[in-house]
Amino acid sequence: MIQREQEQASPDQPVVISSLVVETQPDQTAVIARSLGAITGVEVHETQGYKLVVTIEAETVDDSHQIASSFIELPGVLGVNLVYCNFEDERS
Amino acid sequence: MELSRRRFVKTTAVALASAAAAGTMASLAGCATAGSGQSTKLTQTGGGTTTLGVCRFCGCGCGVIVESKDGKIISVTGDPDNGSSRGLNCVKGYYLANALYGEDRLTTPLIRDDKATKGTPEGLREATWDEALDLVATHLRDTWKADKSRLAFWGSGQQPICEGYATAKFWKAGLLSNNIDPNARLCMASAVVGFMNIFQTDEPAGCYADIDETDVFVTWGANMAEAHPMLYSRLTARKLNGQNIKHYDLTTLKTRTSASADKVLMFNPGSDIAIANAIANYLIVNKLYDPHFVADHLQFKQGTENIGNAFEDGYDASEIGQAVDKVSSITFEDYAARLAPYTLEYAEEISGVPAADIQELAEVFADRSRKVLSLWTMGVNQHNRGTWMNHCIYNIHLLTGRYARPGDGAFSLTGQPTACGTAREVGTFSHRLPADLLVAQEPHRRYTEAIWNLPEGYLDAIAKPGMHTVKMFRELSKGNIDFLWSAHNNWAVSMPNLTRFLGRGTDGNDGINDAFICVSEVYPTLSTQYADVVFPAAMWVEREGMFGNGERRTAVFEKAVDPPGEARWDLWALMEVAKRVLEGETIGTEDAFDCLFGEWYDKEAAEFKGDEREINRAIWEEYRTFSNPQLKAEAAAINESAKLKMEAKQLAPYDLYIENHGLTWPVREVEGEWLPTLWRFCDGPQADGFDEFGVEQYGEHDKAGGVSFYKSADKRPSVVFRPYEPPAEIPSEEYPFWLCTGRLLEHWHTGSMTRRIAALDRALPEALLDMNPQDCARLGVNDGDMVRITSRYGTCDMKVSTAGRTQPPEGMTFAPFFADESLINLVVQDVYCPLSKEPDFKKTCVAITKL
Repeated sequence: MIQREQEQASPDQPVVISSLVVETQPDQTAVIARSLGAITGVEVHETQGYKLVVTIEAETVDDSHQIASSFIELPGVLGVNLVYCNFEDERS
Repeated sequence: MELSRRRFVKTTAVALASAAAAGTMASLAGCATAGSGQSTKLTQTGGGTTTLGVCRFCGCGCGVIVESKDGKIISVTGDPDNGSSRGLNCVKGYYLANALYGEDRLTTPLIRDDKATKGTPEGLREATWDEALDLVATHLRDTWKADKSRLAFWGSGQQPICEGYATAKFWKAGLLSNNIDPNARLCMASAVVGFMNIFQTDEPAGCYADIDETDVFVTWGANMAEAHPMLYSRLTARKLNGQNIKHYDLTTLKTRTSASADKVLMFNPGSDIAIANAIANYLIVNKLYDPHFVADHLQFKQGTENIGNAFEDGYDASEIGQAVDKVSSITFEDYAARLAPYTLEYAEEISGVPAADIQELAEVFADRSRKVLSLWTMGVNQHNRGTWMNHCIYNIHLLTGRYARPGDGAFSLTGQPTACGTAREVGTFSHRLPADLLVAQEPHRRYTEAIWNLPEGYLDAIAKPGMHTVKMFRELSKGNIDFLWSAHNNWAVSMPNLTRFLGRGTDGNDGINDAFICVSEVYPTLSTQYADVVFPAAMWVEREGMFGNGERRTAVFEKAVDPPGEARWDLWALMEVAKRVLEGETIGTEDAFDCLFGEWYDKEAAEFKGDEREINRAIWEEYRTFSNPQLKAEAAAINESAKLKMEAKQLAPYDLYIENHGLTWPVREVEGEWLPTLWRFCDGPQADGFDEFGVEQYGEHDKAGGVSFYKSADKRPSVVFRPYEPPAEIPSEEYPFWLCTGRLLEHWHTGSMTRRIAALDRALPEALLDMNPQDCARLGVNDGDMVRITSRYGTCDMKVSTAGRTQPPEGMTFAPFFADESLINLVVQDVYCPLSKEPDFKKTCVAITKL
């Protein structure tokens, strides 16, 4: 599991928080977890078999979508499923 | 966001994704069942209100829980209780809410005073609803009174069920016109005609849970990874978790779906019928078919052949055009003899696929120890022989007894959220009435009259089908349509041959500029640039509605927030137009409007007789009578005497769909409980998703495979021999390349919703023409160069890519159709399958020159 500390963000800074299940080729799950974890705003929280439980924290929905869409370009990523997206900052 | 709240939201986010990941794994052991009847509370992270939703974008029909606060949506979550998606959405889910909040959202009615401004972003001014409604109603009424063959409605597989039903009722019973057709004609008409020809019922027998149970996937002309991400994710899960699960991809160009397939059979455009026939022939010659299934369930036919192509406007009325639907019975031996020329070698010669690979796939179908699931989309349907190709896939599955059984099936996937639920099920096609009924069938008209309280014989005026979609736009271009209303679609981008239909050619076909056009929309689109009036519509969860997805699942999306400005529910605008047009008209002795819509709408007060929940429920209950004839004595009598078997597609009371987060029809009432059906025609306990009550009522037990096709004539689906006939046009010296168009993951529905957002333009900045590097080298074209694409229909310019999302072989090119700045449909042919009238978007012949 890869932990990245996100708490340095200021409370005033808007944030969109989303969570996803990323599906991988089983022999590349660990490599992909490391690659995803290296992306700013992305954390990998769990590995369930070939699936990764991932969060994205970004300033806007657009940025979040762009980051999520970029996952599919990583070799070995089979699918990117959005589970939850909170954009209360963007809509407030 | 406060740090403590941020931590809380994030913890929730992780917990939800973790559960979704685990849930999908657990589901592999079983099949989708209806939800617990309780709404999930998982997403109440911020004291907001949660409501039930269904995704707005594709045909998968994924459930979402919408959370809103202070009149705005603040979160969306995949709905774990939705049996189709079980908590997962694709990345388009990010835009479910954002699509409501684009800066250029239409919030007031618009009127164009000067037709000379058509085709430009200018010329529309703000108006009141009254002025806009009066104008539309006046033009519709004038056209109707003068010559009702000159009016048309173009609807959609995105139009929610109750509006679709009400629109069809207004058009068919109110105006007595069949000039109504949906954009679903462009995507699934071939599947529909296939279903009707083979099974005499328009529905898939299987369901998404087949994906979790099969051993071999065969995708035919389908890029599921881009176009059906949630289902593809289910396919991936099955492959990774099952034993020795295989995937064969049949395609004309490499896609992201091909990339993960075990074997790719890359065939020459249009040759899929030769491959399918070779498989059927191999199975018969080597006695590898299922003789018990054949004996118990099948009948054999052949049909009209050498049917040419629908290049000319007069094709449908020509001798051959009139004969395309004809079939005659043959024996199994005759069928085998017709197939005999389709040897593996002959199929290789036509298709370019090695005979050994075709044999390998045939052996997959022959292997009784394994289940096989065929999945297809537009490569099969948007085909000059699309209906025939649908036949050919079912032929293989029926010969091997692989249909209507868990994991063994053939499934035509759909591309819009309610193409099935609305376009197909409530009768918005030019030849249909609600619930699969046909205008041309007298008992069907009598039955409809009984439910709509119309005098007997009233609908005889619409016994003849109206204009199908391409016909509608061809006639519009020739100046033969005076009034067009469109809703939930963007025809100015999605129709083929836009050079002609937008009046941009040199042939004088510019009727679009003279006709009066009303467009109901949520954003400015290329279609609104041709509108005389624009109605601003409430979008998605700004009103309550229903969608019906590709696996017969009907679901409700509840209202979560108010529409912006003066945007209104489409149904209200329809009622207001209908009220004006029908003023002073009578049906029998009753006021025409009140006869049709008086139950729901108070025309004096100009408002509904209840809230949105009550109105949707009331309309649904009327529509549901079509499949529950016992609710109305007159209907029940006709159902009985004409043997219509209408309850075979039984639907449940409205509120059950909310409680259960969607239900797959037929939904059977068993001792006060309503039980859905997952596997149609398959005998077994209803509680496990099988079609127990249907088989009991109309079918037979203990037949081969444990299935009974009780809706088919003589309970025998038809295996129809269909020969290989070449594409409408093949590459020539003048037009040496194939052009195939299609969808990519990030964009949907011509981009009218998904393209509002700046980030999307970064992810997919513009449409790219995918080309083979060898072709580029020959033309001296590099990545990123602009080229001109020209067909005998029209021309457009686009940037070339050799590293795009598809990898075409030499001689093939691919372009997505979402971008109105490049507008690839200016180039695409409007030739259609002669049986289904669905255009072939996949095989236009083009020239490519460097700019």
